Amino acid sequence: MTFDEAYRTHFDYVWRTLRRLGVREADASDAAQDVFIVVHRKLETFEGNALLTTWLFRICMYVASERRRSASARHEVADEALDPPSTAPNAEEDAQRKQELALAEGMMDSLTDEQRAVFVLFEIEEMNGDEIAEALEIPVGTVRSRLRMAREAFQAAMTRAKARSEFAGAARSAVKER
Amino acid sequence: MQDPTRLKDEGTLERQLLSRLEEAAPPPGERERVGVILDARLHALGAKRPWFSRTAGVVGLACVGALFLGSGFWLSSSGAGAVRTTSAITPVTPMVEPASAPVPAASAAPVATVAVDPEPATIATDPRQSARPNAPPSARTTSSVAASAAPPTPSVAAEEVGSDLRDESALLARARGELRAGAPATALDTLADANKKFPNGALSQEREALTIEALSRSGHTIDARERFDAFARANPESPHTARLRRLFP
Repeated sequence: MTFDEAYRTHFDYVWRTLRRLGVREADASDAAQDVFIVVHRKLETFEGNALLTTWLFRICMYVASERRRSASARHEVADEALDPPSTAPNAEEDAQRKQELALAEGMMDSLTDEQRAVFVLFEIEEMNGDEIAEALEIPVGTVRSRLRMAREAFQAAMTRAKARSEFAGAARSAVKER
Repeated sequence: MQDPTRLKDEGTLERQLLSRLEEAAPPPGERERVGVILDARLHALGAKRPWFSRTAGVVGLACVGALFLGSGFWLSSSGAGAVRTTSAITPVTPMVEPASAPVPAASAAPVATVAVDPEPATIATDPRQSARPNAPPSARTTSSVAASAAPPTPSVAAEEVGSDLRDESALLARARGELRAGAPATALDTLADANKKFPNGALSQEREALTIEALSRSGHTIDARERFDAFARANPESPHTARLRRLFP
């Protein structure tokens, strides 16, 4: 496969994977460039005994991890200033989806990079334990333990989010009753 | 040992939240736009030839004029001028590669090149350098001269062009920061300053897009609307037009 083909076929996959691995939307295209710079250098060494997507996923993991670490070190926050609220007819639905996405991303942020990679491959890419072990070159037992911890962390974050939501709802009701 | 049941098969909320993560996809045209930028980066890193040129006809070099506002760096093409600019964007952080992969020989240092010849020149810069006053000057400028059409002092002219671009880019970055900080009036002052200093600047399209946004946010909606309509007529394919359209549905 040529670089051109790899780029055309897998740009969307790389972009989505980076987002799922915690790269902010505003940085996803920049990070995708980083991934393809590596691909450009290394494609000749890709042996083809694994899926190209698996190879790309591993490059995405490294790039995403570095980006997240670097963003965290700079104490960056999401830049919404140039993304004005939508006024489209389905604006409410859009807002709801964005809110849910932000919530899901916040919950994913409670996972370590290693847990997150396993979680994404299992829960979103729907790979099984053996496939994940092969893709990440780790024992299947490690996959299962990381997955268990990731799910616990995800569900704990979901419980916290629910509690906050219920608390906010109760507070709004109390204000209305006054 | 069997794999556990997937979370999305366990509960509605889990399914809903995970589906939001699944839905995330690049905006339309992003692959082509990034391809043009990536082409410039690879070229700057010593790639033998622009690999994306075969598809450039599909998207048009207008993509190079995209302003990547969210990341805080600027890309632009002058459109009418003799100088075409592209941005060789370097990652904010050092490139990290899989441990098992061999370390590439190519240098990743950002290099600005200016070619002065009868054809439109290409300038590759890292505008983020200019937006950070304390950043080390890592860009290096070189020039090659084609005899007949070259100006008398090409290297000086090229450096001036690069310097102007950096100054213009820095002003626009400042305006953008002011706008982001909720100070559209201040941003308008900065943009007026940029207009005065660089009336025919390479980043005039980006300046106008920011001006329209600042006008809208400062309550000058009629002015903003009129300028947007003119902008959209002049630049129907611009990514700024698509973005600004959200302000003026």
